[in-house]
Amino acid sequence: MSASPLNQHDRLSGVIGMLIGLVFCIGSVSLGLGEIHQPGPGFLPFLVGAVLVCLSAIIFIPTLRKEKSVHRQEIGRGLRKYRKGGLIVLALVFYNFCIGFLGFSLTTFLFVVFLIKIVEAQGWTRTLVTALCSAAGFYFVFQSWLMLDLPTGPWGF
Amino acid sequence: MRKMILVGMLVGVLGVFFSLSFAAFPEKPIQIINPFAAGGETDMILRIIANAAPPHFGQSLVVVNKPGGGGSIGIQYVDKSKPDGYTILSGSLATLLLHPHMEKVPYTYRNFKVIGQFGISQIGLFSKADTPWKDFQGFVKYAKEHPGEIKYGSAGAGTIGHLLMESISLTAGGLKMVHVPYAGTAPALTSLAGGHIQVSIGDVPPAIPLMEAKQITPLVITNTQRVKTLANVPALPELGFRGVDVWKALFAPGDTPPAVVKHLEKALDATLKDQNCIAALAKIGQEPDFIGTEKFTIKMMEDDKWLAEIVAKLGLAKK
Amino acid sequence: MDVLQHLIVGFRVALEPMNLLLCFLGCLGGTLVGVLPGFGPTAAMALLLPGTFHLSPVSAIIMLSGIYYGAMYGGSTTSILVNIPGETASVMTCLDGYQMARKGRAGPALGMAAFASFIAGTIGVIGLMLLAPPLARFALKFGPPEYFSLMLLGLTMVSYLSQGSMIKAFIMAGLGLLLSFIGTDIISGVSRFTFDFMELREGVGIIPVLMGVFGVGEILSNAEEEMGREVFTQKIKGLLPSLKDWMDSKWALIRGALLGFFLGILPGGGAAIASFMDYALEKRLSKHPELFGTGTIVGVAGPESANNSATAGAFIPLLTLGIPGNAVTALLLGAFMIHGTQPGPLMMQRTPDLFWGIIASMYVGNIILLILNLPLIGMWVRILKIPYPILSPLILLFCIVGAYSLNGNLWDIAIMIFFGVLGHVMRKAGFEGAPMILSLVIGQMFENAFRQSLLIGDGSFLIFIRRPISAALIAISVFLIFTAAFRRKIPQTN
Repeated sequence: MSASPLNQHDRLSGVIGMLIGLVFCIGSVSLGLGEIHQPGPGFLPFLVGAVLVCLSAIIFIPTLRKEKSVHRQEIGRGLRKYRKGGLIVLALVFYNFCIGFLGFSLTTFLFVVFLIKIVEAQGWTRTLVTALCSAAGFYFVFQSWLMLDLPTGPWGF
Repeated sequence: MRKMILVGMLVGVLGVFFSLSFAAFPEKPIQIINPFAAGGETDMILRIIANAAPPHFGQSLVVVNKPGGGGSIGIQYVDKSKPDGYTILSGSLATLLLHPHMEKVPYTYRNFKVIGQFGISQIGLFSKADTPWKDFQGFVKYAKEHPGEIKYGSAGAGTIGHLLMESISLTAGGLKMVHVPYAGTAPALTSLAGGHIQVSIGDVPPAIPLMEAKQITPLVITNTQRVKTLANVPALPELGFRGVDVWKALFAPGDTPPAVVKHLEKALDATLKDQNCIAALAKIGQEPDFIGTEKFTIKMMEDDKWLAEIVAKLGLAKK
Repeated sequence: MDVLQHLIVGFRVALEPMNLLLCFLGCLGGTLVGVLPGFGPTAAMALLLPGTFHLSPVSAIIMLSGIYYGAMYGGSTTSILVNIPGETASVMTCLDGYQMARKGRAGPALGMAAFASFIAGTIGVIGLMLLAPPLARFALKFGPPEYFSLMLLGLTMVSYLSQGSMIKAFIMAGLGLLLSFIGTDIISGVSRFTFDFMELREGVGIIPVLMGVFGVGEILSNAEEEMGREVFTQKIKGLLPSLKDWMDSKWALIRGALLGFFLGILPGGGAAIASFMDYALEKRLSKHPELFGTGTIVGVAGPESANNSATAGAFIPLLTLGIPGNAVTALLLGAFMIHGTQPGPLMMQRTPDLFWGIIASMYVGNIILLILNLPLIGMWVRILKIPYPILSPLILLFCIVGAYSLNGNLWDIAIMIFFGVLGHVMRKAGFEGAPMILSLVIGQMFENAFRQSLLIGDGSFLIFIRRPISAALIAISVFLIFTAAFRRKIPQTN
């Protein structure tokens, strides 16, 4: 509608911001605020948390006047475009999870295959070539050359 | 008779077999886990030791850095690793004794078997060059007569320097000094050189260039004995105060076989007597200081008792 | 002139074939290491340190220093190409450098970064050579109150880092500050907001957060773009900065070099803060501030020049007083000691060969790096031609290994992923990452300096105003806040 600087997510952002600020404020009190001439460990976190709450409120309050219909439309259409990003995040999380027992090389190989074949829908040749080259390449650069201790899987690499 | 010879041969073969399997250690490189990032003082000492180690250990030593959590990540790593003597820990009074008193960690020094001490940190109290006091006793007197005026710097609240300063204060009958913690010995020394604080307690090596520049002067060494790099500076015990040796030692996981630990202890002793090692350490202002397993274990327990007391007195004990 | 004579001696040492070779190797190694995110110059230097035992002190230090400035050059390369800052000092280069790359101007961006680094590095070395002792004494005057005021100034410049809403920029700054408070508090000794995670005791790592917000976040953003839109325009427009680029950037280069040099002298100051402040300064002084963040060459020239002269500045406290200002100089200090020399005021007198040899090799290093990097631009630009579906998994892999290389801990990868998602989500809501990063870097120093100052000043706030340097910095901060508020108001009343 109008070219306002308000973003459609402002309502949610405002709430989350206030929550985060509040959490830090509460945590700070239990740490000990000290007094202004001898600030304790909770002093500055409390102040900053409070400022965060105020600023988030400034973002939040104008949204109380805005229409809701625009908001709902955006959500429906948006869910599909999050597919790719969501898959990437899933791949990253699984990577971190599996590397402990599968080892660097194997996990990397699977990771690249997943991303190129499934997420980006490329052909098998490209996928396999890239996956093999990257797993091997990274292994050589980081493990052999830079002597970084990459996690090893059951096969020792 | 024949039976006895057979049994004797069997025992003999088994005996040879067992001694061989122990003599077979080490078969591959041994990892020393340094729970701090590369480049620090301890790191360099470890690398020098590792450099001189192969002939004495029979294998190469590799220094692996596993930083994080103020040392606790690396320590936990060794605690959980296979007790076969191939993964050992570089621990210190600060990380293995002091830290567990103040923070919740899933281990104590008793989780580990001591291999041996390899060195001691040199810690001292330094003061700005132009001050009303000329030496340590003068400083103590001044602090007593001017409560609240002295601001002393340290490497942080709860560090050994902080505890030592408070211990000095208590022994002297309760000096009222203001503790100004910094993020390490170096920032505190920089602040001292700039005159923002009057004294600072911390490691000796970073202070030496500033002493040469006549910006700061040493008042006292907090170790139990004088140190070679500052031979004419008295140590706390000489002046009637309690000194502490902040030791650095090698440890193995608790279930490591005693024979393996003994082998490592002997190898460490030999390495620290190696001329190349001593020379290289001297270049960075360090001297090797070996104490074997038994004597060191006793020392550790005494230190632990003292630390527990003073941490409790300062109210820094973990909740 | 005395200095000239010393310099000639220094060059004779630096240009010895062995030293020249070592300098080259150091610069090359440093550049490669700098390109790898996470794996920083300290790790590379620690790796090579034992190898230097058999070299002479001069040769060893020349090589190790080469790694240091090489890494600074390398860090900007990934910032420009794939929006991943090699280290904190390269974050600012991401803001405009990456946008330039997307528009097909990666070549000029990389070229300007190289030239800026060269010019600033040279200016820095000249400053080092002529002004080292008095500057070192000046640096000592910075105590906790001065650091506090400086950090305060940095925080007020946060608003200049964002293109959008100022309130949102400050919210991000607040978030960054809160994140910086996580960990063990050095002033009281208690753990704050660590929820009993040992990994958080030393705080949330800056580098994983950086790589998450900028690197991973960017990839997630691109994943949401409509199909068919190219991430990188395939039409490459030139490989070197144009004449117009040079004319636009000339003042930024000088200002960046001076600002970076002075901030680099302060122990703990550093290249990161220098590049932040320079970016903000350039934006403030520019006639077209709205261009910042869209791919303007000045946004690359300024910060790059600042972070390279800060590198030279960091050598001043190290060489004149033996005080290391950051982790890299601390390692160099250790290297000095292992080779039997003690940097400090007596070094100039006792071992002039060593001192001037190092300085001369810094000139040489700068030249080597320029010669090394310019031809590489063509190669880097070609990397961008790799189809994005193949490139993006590689970039992610790069980030993952880079994060892991910091501590050998999977935790850092987790932090990176978390902040990647967070950064992406926040960007969609109109919040930018740069203010948060700046506050995260500044936060701990800011709070520590505040509390240390009150301890020194016996609880009185007057300590900040009574001391001249601190008062001046606070005055500038106040001035900036007021003028920023008015500047925003004026366009709105139209």
